[in-house]
Amino acid sequence: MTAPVLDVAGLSVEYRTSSGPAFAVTDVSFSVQPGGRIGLVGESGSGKSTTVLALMRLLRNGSIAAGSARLEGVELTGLSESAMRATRFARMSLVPQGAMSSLNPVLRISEQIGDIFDDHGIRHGAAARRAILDTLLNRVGLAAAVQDRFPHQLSGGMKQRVCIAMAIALEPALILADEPTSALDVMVQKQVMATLGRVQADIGAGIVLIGHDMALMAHFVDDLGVMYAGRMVERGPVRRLFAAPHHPYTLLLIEALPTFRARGRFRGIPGVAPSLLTQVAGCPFHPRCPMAVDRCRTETPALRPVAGAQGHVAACHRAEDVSR
Amino acid sequence: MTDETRPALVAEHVDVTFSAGFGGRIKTHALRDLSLVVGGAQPAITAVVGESGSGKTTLMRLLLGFQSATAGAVRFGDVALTEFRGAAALNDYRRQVQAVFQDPFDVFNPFYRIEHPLVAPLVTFGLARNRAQALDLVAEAMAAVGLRPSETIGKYPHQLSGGQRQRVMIARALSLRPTILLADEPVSMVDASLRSTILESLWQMNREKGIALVYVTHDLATAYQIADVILVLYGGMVMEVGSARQVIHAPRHPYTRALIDAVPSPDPDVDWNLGDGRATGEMQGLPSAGCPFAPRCADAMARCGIETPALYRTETDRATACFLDEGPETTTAAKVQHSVGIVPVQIEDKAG
Repeated sequence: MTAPVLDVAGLSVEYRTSSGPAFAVTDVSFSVQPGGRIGLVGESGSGKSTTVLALMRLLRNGSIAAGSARLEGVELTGLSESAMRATRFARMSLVPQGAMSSLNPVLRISEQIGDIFDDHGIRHGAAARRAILDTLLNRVGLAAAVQDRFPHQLSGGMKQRVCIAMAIALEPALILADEPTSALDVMVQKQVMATLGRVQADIGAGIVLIGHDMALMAHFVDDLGVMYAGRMVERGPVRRLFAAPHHPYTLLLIEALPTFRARGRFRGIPGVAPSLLTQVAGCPFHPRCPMAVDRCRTETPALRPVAGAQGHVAACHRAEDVSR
Repeated sequence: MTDETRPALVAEHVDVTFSAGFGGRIKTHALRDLSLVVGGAQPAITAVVGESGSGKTTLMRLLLGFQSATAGAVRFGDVALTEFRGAAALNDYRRQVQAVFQDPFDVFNPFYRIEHPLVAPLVTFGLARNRAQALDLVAEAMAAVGLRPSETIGKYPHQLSGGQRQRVMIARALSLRPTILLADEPVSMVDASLRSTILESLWQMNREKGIALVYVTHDLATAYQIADVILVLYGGMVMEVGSARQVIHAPRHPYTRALIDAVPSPDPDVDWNLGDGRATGEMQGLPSAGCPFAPRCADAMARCGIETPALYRTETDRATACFLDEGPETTTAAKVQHSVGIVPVQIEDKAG
């Protein structure tokens, strides 16, 4: 087995709030193989976006409280700001959630993408830079003329493609994509996901895809981690997770997905996710869990391997009793 | 439960055109020749499915009387929305036609307790004599959508989750005893675990209280889950309308087919063909003539860029606006809605 491009172990992140610390991410571990695709799925407040921001070291009012994150063997939590700046885009890049609002409205696309090269000390002559941007835009399915446009002249899908072009400009080893298509129409979403998958495979980068749509994950990632209240509650090969979920939350999320089969059939998950300001005793999901027993209210389950499947772990005392 | 005396909300051959530019020379057709019926004797659930720019929000605003029609008319019962005589008729429309909006974070005034926007209209519309009576009705409506009144009443909006707030909005609509509910993307900003619960509340309002529902969404899967009739909008035009079963399981219009093709199946073993990504392009303005979908359509012919197709009836319970389905009988969405009616859920619909 080759060394993982990203290895996250026991990562915890806290936000400082006026009501005390909020435990946004608690003891999260996962790794990404070179060229591998992992998805982190969860609802609002599950800690999925915070995990990505922590890896990029872009947390606001938050800090990494514990754990480690190694990118190509280099510990990210201990890097100086200047070393981190050299790492971003070059070794690890981010495709942000709102492409609509993450481009600078007063800069032409050529200038925004060009900044990445400039900031990493890569100099080109004017003609060479144009040719490089041409190729880059072409790879994400955009015409060369796009480099002379301003963001407001582009559609949402085109802007998201520009963000993908920026993410692959320096051919990083890892791409973090935070809900890259959540603001796009469904047909455009499919095209953008196809593009993201193609360029990621082209440059051989690993990818961490953040999202809330289990169905989208099912078709894009190899491995899926399910997060709840800041914890990883189940992780494993995506097909295995759908075929044999071992955490009640995963099972209920899959069953809550609307299908083209079941008209007039509704399966919600009762209750609401806990506040991150308080730490629930026992399993964080137990107040909403239809399978909870006394032990779940007192003892926090650790992630443990699920029998019979390589790389499948679940944090549930009753993992063996969960079935579709 | 149906009631012959309930007035229907009817749009008849409505056009909505927005003008911009010097002398208003740039025209945008937000809706074109749309006929639709909501409620009346047949309180069905109609899903209006469309992407951004399809005209679905304009349609909502039109039915709520916030937007006037450039041509055609919207009637409530026998009276056009623009011609209500006296406060009583307008109040009646305002009470019977309720709305739930997309953003559960945006609709509440953060300085008022959550029950304030529920109590006030109950008193205004004379459904409660005083605040105490209104609070009882609010508690009843909240319980009906799965909220515990004791955990909701007295709270400020920021103390509730998005899903809870959206249910408060539905409770508000429900407490006014409407006959028609217009819901504009009511679950698109709500977490997946709560979506089903909210859709179920809407479904129950329709099936148990006979409240007609228009469910505006971009999500075909939830449209299928809840609707009797699905109406697919593109560029302000009805592309396809029919029973949910026909539209989803045997789509005819190239746009509907492309839309369905783009929805990822919740089963990883069903191939999504992410590799090919059918070249349908993105909507970038609409053509000035012909079918609005023609520039993105894989099946477009020369005439599609010149002539606008009528809505052709293909079966009793479906019609499409596509020259591939051109036939002798043209129809309107309202007529198709009538022939579909309320579709009982079949046992065979049980998920595999």
